[in-house]
Amino acid sequence: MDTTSPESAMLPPAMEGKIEDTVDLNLQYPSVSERYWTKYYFIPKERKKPGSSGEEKGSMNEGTGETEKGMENVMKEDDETEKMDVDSNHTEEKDDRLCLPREGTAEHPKVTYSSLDSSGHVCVMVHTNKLCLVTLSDRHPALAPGQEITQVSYEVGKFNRLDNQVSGKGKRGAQMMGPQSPVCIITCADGSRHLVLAGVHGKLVEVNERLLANPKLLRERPDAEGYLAVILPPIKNGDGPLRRLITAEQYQEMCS
Amino acid sequence: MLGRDVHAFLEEAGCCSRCTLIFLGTRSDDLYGDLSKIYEATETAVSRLNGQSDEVQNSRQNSGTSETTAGSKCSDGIKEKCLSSDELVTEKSDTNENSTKKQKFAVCVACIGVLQWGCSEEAIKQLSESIKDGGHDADGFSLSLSLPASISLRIHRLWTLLLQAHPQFPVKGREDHIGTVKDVWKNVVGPQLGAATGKAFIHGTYHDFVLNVTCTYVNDLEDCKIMDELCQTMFATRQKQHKKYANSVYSKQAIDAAFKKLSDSEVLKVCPSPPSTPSEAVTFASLQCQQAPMYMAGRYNKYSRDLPQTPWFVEGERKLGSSVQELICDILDQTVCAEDLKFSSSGREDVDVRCLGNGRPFVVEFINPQRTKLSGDKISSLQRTINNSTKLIRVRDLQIVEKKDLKNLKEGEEEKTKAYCALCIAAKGYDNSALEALSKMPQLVIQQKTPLRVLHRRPLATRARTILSMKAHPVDQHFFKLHLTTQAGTYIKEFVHSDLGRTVPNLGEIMGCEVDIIALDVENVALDWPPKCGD
Repeated sequence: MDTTSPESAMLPPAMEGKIEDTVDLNLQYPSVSERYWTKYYFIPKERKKPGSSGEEKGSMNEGTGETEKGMENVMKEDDETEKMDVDSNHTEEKDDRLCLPREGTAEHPKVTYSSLDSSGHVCVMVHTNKLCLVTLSDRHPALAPGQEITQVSYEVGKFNRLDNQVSGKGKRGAQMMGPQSPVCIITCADGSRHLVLAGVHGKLVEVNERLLANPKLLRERPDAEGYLAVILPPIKNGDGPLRRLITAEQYQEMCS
Repeated sequence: MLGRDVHAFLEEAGCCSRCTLIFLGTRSDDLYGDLSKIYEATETAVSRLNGQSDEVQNSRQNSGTSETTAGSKCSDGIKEKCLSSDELVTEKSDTNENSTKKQKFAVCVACIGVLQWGCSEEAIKQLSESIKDGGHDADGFSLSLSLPASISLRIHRLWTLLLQAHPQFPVKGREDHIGTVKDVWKNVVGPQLGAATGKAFIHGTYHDFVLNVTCTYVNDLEDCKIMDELCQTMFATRQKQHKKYANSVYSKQAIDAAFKKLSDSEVLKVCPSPPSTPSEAVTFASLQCQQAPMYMAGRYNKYSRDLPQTPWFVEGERKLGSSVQELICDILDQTVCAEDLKFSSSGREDVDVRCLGNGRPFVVEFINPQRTKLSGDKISSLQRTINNSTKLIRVRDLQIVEKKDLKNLKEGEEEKTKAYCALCIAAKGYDNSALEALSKMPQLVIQQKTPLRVLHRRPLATRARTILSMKAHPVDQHFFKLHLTTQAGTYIKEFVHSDLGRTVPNLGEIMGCEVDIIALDVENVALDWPPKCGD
């Protein structure tokens, strides 16, 4: 009647023994980030905009061979053809690219496009339950040695991610995110400003408000307590939401 | 004379003798009797209505063969007519041939044969076979009958015609007419069914074991079409709403409701004559035995760190072999043989968490079980079989419980405190003093956001929970174990590793070092139910 195969389980089929006898006391026990999450990477495309510098990054999607022109169409596809669980209350981001004030506002110093860099690599950590964490890749300029992060802001032009409200299991009312959606703006001590993009489709569940009071956390624990946002991808689409991402292996190869 | 005239009217219209008796207003046990009882009772009713009560007493004492009174002439005629209309119609096969002949050989226009063929030997055979096939061990049974909608319609129509022809006829029988038809069928069939199956027929509502009988009439839809004329608006809209009224445009409730609104004269305009003779009698479209659910409770220990509580499937594939539920229920169901079962427990632990101590209370609900009579010995033997079949779980205090006891489970889940032991790792080491300080801490209230590992299927919320007490023991310089008792609904793992900072305060903060959890055990579920069985 016993249909299990206890002997083949990784751990012995523990009986009523002491807890320390039922597991391997392994000092290399993987951290929470390592146990539950798989790292994927999103490399934003360089945009043609006045005064911007920066190399063209390698293509990220095998098989779709996008050009700059083609990218416009692809992004339209993102918004329209990928069917997501959209409800009437969400704030749809039709133009979720760099929607930023051209002139300075009372709170922000005068900025121009060229000083806001959105090319930094993003690491999307995907949980075994498909939930996604938006975090900085360790190659992100804000994490470069000697750099210091002074501010994290969730006000990204048209949207304020702090205004996000969700209710129920389905996270109704969430702000909808696409790979190009802005998540936050990171300001460094040297004046550089970085716009972080979401990298995946889905509903914005929460942003990490602890970074408002404690931006240092982002450099200390970028792949754990310093996460930026939590996104719930649509359930039906299988691996669809991960389409714009590359695996950690592919990322290592590309960047070495 | 009222009684005789009404009797003739009903007989002419095509009612069987039991239906006629119901129309005449009889509501006593006479209705359930055999045909000779029916004849007697009919004579009684007729005479009563004729207003000659004295002669009725005399004639009844002479066992139904009264000679001298005016009423007796009628009663002889009645007897003949009752006899012919019923005896010839107990076999269904006759009705088709005879449908063109005079009505007394035909299916009753009121009950469409429910009180004719429906009470016959053939019908009873079908019923007793379905009870036997069910294989249930119940000692008693009751009956539930569902009739086609056209019966309501026919009976309404007959009443309007009756009252039109005989306005002084007492109308109070109209209200409970259909209910009475069902009662009559049940009480005629029930005792015979009891004799055939060896189970006791129980009158009235008895929900433990019921045979649900659904009667249908082949031309039900045709008959009911007249409702379109009678009550144009109501049924026209229903016809259009195909999804909502796919199968039941003309339901019994709808027809009853419609007739409440219609006056008798409106009905007579559309239906000036009696309903037609049914082409055939009703049949039993479905016979379902339904046994009330049985509940068994117990407590389980879980010793494996690789066993889910319920079967776990990801994209159609089973993720881990077996489950607590299957290890318990597969063996129980081999004996109980239920159609379906539901496993619930007072909270649950993760796949990789052991459940020690007295174990976690659980209940198994068996739906439509075949076997419900289980002795104490049999239950003990089932428990032993489960415990001998695997080392991964253990069951204790197995017993049958009642539905009303189930609420204990929920109460346990939501209110009772739990005791845990967490084996923790401090990769960079920890201070012994920090460990000792834990046991001196007063009750600690923590704020837990919905853990990321369940956030995909639970609403985002922050919940306050209380850690009631803690006590820690070192294992070595990097590992220690923490015993803690907490309020129900506390996420222990997240309290230890902080869930990326989303549970505060957390153990790492309190101890001032990085900690993570490597193993967790439930040491006790503080619920005193189900009662101990002393094994």
